[in-house]
Amino acid sequence: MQVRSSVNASKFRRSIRLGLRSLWLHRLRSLLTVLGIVFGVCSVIAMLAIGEGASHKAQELIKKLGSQNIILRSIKPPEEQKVSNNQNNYVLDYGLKYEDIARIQGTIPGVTTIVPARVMREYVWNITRRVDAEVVGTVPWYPTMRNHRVSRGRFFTETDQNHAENVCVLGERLSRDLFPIEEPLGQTVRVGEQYYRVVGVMEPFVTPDADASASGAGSSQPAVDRMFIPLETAKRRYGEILFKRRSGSFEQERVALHEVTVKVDRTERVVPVSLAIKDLMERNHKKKDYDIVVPLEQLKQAEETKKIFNIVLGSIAAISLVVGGIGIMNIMLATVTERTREIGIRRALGAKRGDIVTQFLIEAVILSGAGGALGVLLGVAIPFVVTATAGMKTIITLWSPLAAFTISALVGVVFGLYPAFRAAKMDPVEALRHE
Amino acid sequence: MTPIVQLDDVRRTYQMGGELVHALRGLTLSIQPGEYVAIMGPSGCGKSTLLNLLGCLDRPSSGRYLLGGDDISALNDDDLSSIRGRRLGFIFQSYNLIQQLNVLENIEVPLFYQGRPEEEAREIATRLATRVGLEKRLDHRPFELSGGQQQRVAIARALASDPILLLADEATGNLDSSSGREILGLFDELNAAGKTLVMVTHDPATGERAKRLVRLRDGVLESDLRK
Ligand SMILES: Nc1ncnc2c1ncn2[C@@H]1O[C@H](COP(=O)(O)OP(=O)(O)OP(=O)(O)O)[C@@H](O)[C@H]1O
Ligand SMILES: [Mg+2]
Repeated sequence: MQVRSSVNASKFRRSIRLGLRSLWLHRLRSLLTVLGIVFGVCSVIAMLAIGEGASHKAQELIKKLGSQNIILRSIKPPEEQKVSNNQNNYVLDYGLKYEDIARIQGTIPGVTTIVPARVMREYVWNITRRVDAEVVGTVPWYPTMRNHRVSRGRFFTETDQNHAENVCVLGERLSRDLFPIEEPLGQTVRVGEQYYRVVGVMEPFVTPDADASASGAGSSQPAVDRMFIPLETAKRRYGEILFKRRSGSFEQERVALHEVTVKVDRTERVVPVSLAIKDLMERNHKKKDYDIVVPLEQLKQAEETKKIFNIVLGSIAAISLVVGGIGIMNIMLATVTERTREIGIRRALGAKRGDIVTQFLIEAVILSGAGGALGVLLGVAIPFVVTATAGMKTIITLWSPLAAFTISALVGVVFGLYPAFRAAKMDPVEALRHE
Repeated sequence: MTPIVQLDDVRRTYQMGGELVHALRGLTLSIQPGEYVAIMGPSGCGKSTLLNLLGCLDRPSSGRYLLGGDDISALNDDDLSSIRGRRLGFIFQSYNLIQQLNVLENIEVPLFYQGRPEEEAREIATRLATRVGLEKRLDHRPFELSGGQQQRVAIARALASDPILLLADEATGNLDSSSGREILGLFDELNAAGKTLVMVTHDPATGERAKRLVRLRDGVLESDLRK
């Protein structure tokens, strides 16, 4: 038994060598035959890597917002906008109120923390250097809630908050713009008439580029960088009414809170809590002057989108492999006809039907396997090129090249079977007489 | 002594459309070990049909064929393949070498299908190539050889598995007279060394060299002369 299997192994090895030789004899034809599989496999791996990269980025961003968080934002109701265009002295009163926070905290179970924020668009000055920024009045636990941490120094504390201190924490970009050379910590910046001491600098956002907003999660990503001050300080310095100069006319807005982040105690409760909040808000706000973002829902949506993308890719892969397989079958049928004489000779010299099947099957599998391997090489190379040239993030998962290669080799088996059996079925006498 | 070949009332009928073609109609023939038989006859009389039957490439429509005492009509396709590889050697008119293989590899083909180890096969092939005078052409491919040389490769290949019967269908048909003579010289040597040979030929001079001359006509035995 041992001897027999080693003999078979050697025979198999020699068959592979023979197959390689036959294919090498028709190099160009073999290459053209496998191109279908090469491009199929290559494009699927490359697209998968690009898709994976994009969705990974979107998911990172959503996770950064916090999958246990629900974010509410004030938005200016559209009908009010028209009115304010005609009447200069009109005070717009809209958005989230302190009562909303109280109601959410008081009536909805599962809500653990709430982070309110006021956002003012202002110029921030360092002596003569001026940067357009959003001044955010918020609470000391903002960084932990939003997964946006301090990289240097500290965030402001309860004490700062209670005393309405003029301290601030700069966004990473803002600190670079204001203090290109000097160390920002301990320095003073000016906003309007007020001076603020810099106590900390935030870490940069994970994905500071624009295409993230296409995924729907980017709305949290401010176009300009932020400066954080205690909410109490903001209330005192700015009062309740904000003035905005816009195209020659003044606009006055009374917005209590611009942004409220609600943290839910367990992930499973995020959806019910968000529904409850929506319900509550609908009852208390006649106008739709707020917006609710649930990162977890976006995460689920992103996963759903990715699933669809993968199904589409899978179909493309299947189609291209079938097409590639048909190409191989076609060439193998031609090869079998072309080599009818050879088949007859081999049969006369003692080849069994099984030997003939093996021979042609091996050739088909070498073809499809080589096509698959070539496709994998190209498919793995393309994402690197894309990353290098377009700067897009790509992720090659280990299973995709492995699966692509295995499946394309199997394609050789499936589509090689028919030609191989046709070769083996031939009558030796007829085959020998073939010209 | 058991005859190498024993045919009893062998018939071979082909179906051609609605018609039956009787290629062999009741042939009884026996060939002893060490014989050198030439089969002659007009075109279409059934010579190739007979040789295919003897070579187990085909099976009789009726009648019995014993090869070395074994009834082959009972065997399946795999067993027939195995018998062709181990007990029979074929030499064809058009040489029938495999184009992508070199001389040595062509000679090794029957041994490959028997699953003989590579080194052993290489040894046998080298010895046989030398035997037919091609020791300098071992790695040449068929298209680099003359007709006579190709036919010698074919003979070496037929000898590779040390068969009990060599079958040649017009082996010299494509060769010029001097190459043909060389091949026939080889046949003589092989027969002298004890090989049993059956060859089909159209050439009376070639037929004369065999020790026994079988003539066919319309699928039946016309004459059977021993010298
Ligand atoms: N596959 C086949 N189908 C139908 N008829 C066949 C087939 N093979 C042979 N025949 C017929 O059988 C008869 C004998 O043919 P065979 O090839 O044995 O003749 P042959 O003696 O070898 O002739 P030649 O000397 O021309 O080679 C012929 O009439 C031929 O037409
Ligand atoms: Mg003939």
